[in-house]
Amino acid sequence: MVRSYGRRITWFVGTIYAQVSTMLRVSVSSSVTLALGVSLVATVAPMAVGEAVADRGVTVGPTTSPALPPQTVIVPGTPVPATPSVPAPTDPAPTEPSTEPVATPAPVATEPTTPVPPVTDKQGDLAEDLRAVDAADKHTNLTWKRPHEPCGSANTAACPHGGFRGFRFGSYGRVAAATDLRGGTPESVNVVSRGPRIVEPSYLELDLSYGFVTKQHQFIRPIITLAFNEALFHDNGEFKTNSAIRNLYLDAWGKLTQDYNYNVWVGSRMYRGDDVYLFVDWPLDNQNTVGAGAKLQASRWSVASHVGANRLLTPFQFQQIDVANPSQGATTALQLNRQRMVASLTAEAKLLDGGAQGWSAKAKVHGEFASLGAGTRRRDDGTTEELPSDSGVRVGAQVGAWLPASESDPAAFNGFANLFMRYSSGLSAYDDLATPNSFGPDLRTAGRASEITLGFATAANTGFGNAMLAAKARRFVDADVNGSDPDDGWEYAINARPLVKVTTSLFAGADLSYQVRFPRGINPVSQVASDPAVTQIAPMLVFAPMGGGAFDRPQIRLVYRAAHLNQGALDLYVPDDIRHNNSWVHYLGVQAEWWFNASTGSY
Amino acid sequence: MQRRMQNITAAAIACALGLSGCGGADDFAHPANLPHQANTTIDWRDQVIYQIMVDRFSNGDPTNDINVAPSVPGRYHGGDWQGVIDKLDYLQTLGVTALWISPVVKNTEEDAGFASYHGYWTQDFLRPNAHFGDIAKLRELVDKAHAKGMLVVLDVVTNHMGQLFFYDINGNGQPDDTLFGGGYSHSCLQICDNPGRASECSADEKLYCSKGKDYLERIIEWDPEYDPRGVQGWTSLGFSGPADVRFTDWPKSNRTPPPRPPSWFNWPDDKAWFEDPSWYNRKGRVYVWWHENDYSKEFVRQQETTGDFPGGLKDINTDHPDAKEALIRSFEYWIEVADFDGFRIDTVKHIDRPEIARNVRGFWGDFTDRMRAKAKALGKQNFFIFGEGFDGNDELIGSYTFGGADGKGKFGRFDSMFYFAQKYRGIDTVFGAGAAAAPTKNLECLYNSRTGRNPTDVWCQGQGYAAGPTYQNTPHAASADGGIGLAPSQVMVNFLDNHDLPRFLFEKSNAGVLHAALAFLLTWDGLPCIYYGTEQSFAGGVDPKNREDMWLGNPAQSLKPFATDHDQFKYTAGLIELRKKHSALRRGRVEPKWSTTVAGPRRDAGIFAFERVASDETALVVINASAQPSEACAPTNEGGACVKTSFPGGTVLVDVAPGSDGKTFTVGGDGSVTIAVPAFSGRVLVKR
Repeated sequence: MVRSYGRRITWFVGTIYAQVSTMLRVSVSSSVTLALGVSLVATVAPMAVGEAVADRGVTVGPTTSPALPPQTVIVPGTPVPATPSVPAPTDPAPTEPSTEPVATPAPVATEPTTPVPPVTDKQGDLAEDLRAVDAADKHTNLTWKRPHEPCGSANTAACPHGGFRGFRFGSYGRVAAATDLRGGTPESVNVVSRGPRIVEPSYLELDLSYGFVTKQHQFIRPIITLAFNEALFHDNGEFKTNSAIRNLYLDAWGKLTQDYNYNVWVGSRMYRGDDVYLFVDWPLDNQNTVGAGAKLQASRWSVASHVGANRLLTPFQFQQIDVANPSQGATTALQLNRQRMVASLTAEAKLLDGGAQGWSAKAKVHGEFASLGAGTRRRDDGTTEELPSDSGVRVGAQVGAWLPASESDPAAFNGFANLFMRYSSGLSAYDDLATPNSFGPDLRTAGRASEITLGFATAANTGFGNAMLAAKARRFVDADVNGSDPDDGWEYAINARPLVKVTTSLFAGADLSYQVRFPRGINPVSQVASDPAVTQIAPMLVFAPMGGGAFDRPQIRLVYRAAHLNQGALDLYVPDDIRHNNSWVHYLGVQAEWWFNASTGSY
Repeated sequence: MQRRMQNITAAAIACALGLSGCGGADDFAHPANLPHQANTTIDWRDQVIYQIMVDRFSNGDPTNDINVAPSVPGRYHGGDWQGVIDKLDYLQTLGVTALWISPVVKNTEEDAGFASYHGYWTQDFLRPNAHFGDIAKLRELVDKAHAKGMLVVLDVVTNHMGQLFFYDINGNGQPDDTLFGGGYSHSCLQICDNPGRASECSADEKLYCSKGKDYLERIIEWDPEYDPRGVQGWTSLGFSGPADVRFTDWPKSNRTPPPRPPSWFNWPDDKAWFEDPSWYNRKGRVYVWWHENDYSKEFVRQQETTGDFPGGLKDINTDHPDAKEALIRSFEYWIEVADFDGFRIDTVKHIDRPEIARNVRGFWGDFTDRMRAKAKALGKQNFFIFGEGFDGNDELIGSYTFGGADGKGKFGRFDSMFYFAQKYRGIDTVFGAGAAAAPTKNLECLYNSRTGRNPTDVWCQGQGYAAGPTYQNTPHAASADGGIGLAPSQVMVNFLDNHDLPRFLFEKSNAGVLHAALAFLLTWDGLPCIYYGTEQSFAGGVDPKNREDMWLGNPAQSLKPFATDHDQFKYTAGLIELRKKHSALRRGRVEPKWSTTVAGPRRDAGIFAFERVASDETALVVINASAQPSEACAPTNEGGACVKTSFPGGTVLVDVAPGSDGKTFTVGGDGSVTIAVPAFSGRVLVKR
């Protein structure tokens, strides 16, 4: 059981989840099918400099977003961010992470299923129906098409009722105990927007769902994902948690016709494609949205679309003010209430179908349009500020190829590779859960801000071990009028994590990475032009009892990390910061990471 | 086209692969490393200065709108360097040729509800004020101004810092607004009023103590009144010696000790910086300004030069060699990084005593020469340094333009001063003062003082004008040596109003008077300096109401922001254009031809006529500062003689002033001519 679970993971994880997504959201639901389809890598979230900061624990670029609490900064950037007039300084920003904290591949472990005859219209008992559907998937090449399928449709001990019906609990989590060898708590030292994750804060997601299967073979389930950040009582002594609802939606799918599946969902969810695990990054599509979406799947292609919105509790989108109550005293009046609407359209096609034993390949294109209505904000001095409407566009593409693990020869080579390209402009060049950190003279971002992201991720598993490799290049130009601007510029990162099998469950290897930013401006702290760069070498021992694939989890890791920060990186800290002079930063600790049955945000 | 696309694609791929820096430090030129404009052909007499308060001029980058409160006059409003860049075309249309921008360094953010939007509350001499942009943006402003033929002058403050520390008079470690029993200064209570020690006090001190009973009743630890022996600690039990200086640690409002300079500044590690209390005089606030006639000049000047500037702005001990060196090197840096073409220096009279010791080099002797040397080292010529001496005392202010010599050799001082004496004794009193208007002879007397011609003018002497020359009449340095090659007396910076004074139209409330004053300003010798918004008829009162937002236009006059289609703008631009067109109005020597010594309505009321004589032309300017049509002629009962010009008889002069009636005047055989000038206006007459 364990063994086959592991095998499965090799592929699922490797292929799907790894690719797919990761982290938290990812999930699981995955059936193989799904997983396969999904691909692998992930995409980078559009990330303005501010977003980098927003993503707790992940990285931090040289500038900080004014809206974010300082503790989110890992490599602090310029101390005083130009606070746009838009966000009123007195209005506190939300303390929750504005984007998902970390990615987690969430493989789904299911037993291989036995092929069954194609599904028929005949209605029978649920178990039979589920088996039939599953069989239909297998035999009609629909394995690729079922999104969000819980744990495969196999009717196994691990997944009773095909793994879909009834209550299901899943989780993504990671936790670490470590020292910086200077007597302090270690931290990551990234200088790019989403950099290597070798050192990252603890994080937990709990997935809850309950699946129903109708007589008409429609599958419906509510999915709830609770997320908790790194605040651990036993670490900080504060008996409280910082939690968020990351998923709260109703998911339904079924067959439209013999050849087409459908999926619809309504609610709040992480909605995203493949990730780059090593960077906790979704280089193509990564939305955090409240809305609804639908997907149509055929045997070799699918089309998905969604429309969603958010209204952040920042003075950029929302403001309440105290006013006189005509009858007596004061009351609260709504001053600003504007939603950011996002519509997306994604199409995916399977270019090559190697089945369970050969190479498969796919291509995917993705587009988004974001819009924000006009509004009027009130400043502290009682004057008002007109906030114009704004918009953004994102387009991108991905190609991927994968070779599934062989069920007959677990040691055989398998793996995947994904390449992403994306262009964003206007609002879409910024994090969708944060106020843009810059504006043009007209207080708009459209036509001014832009982002280009190129990403690559690959992983391979063999009998000797496994390896992951990721690379990214990103160019960001903010919306302000400054040609010389430290917020603008290119950034690059490359990260490899090869692991060699020592024993069945023990692996040895290292996480090696290099990241660099080329800001197009002067560091406002040091007043000189510099290119922050960080080189990290992290030898590790990995205990992976559930399988030896790159994305098999759980893993327990013993890690030593040495990071070298060049002067440009050190200068991202203000001189008063005790980290300003530490060109070498260490980490020694144990890490645990797991995922199971986590609900995927992928579509 | 296809090839271009291929190149772009190749470049993009190269960047994507990380094969090159693509805009990183290797490709990014630090502003200090950019070339500097040489200014080899600059003659500062040709310039028209436009004074800009950056926070109030134009908001070009909303991203840096930190803590703005646009409706509150004393807070930041959002203007920035990008805004100035955006309006260079407007300034070019107006015709000004040099921009004086408000201070650029990082300031303490606020104090008592007021913000540092003006820039005069330095917290860190080496960092830009983030409200306005970064150093790259500042350099971009200067470069773009240069590209449009405009020079840029930086406003510099070396006398004091912002309110960075308090005097812990009672030793409780916190800044107290009031102290029990406080107020009466240490010198008074312990010494001057002590029969046993009273002999240690001067008469001024005793008077100060005596009057202090009236106005030294309250001590604020931020800003205690001046004590010649330094601010002393005090409790109800008595005095406890020099009060401790405590820097605040309030980073949110930038009220922290000035940080040590970054490593690239190469400041010796073993030397202190501005966080060292010994770099400050620590004597408390200058107070006697408001009672200066009660005291000896010496006593007043001691306070002025060693006391804190009102508002708790801590007076730097500029005699401290390290403090002096730090200031000099800091502003050398700003020339280098931003390529400024000159400095306007704030509160000049609060440093050094050249009026009594011209040959004591002091701070200014070193500072000004080092700035010139730095400019020269950067390949810049004609670096212009003028000072603000907020004082109508011509001799005092003028003393800051005289160089000297000591054991180390000759040294210079200021190339020019902001001409407050002319503002107080000429502009304010002659123009638009109605029945109380002073005779226009005052304008001539000022000129005579400046150039040393008063010994022959009994009237001027009788009015208390110095014999002069009150300003140095030889250059401090040649253009090639970083100087301007012109004598201070040739390049006084003339103005009608500025950011520290009510707008001209606030006090005169008559656009005609402004026209007459502008006609004088732009035809008189020296450098005209126009305070932003004058051309938009701004009429704000005292600070901060005189610091209007240009981007709001002038609703009282129904003028849209930066409007150029109205009379005031056209008249101002027309005068500037006229000055550019006629070299005599820029560089010609002055020959006063007519002024009145008698106030009140008469034939020549408000008339001031003078010639500007250049090698290639002569212009005759006749200003009428009065509310009546006047002529440049004596009343009939005084003989009726009219202004006698240097033009040959028969010369036909035509009025070329903007908006004039184009009237012509024919010079009589003896050079005299009868020129009638409408009320509140001026004629600029040249050969037809």
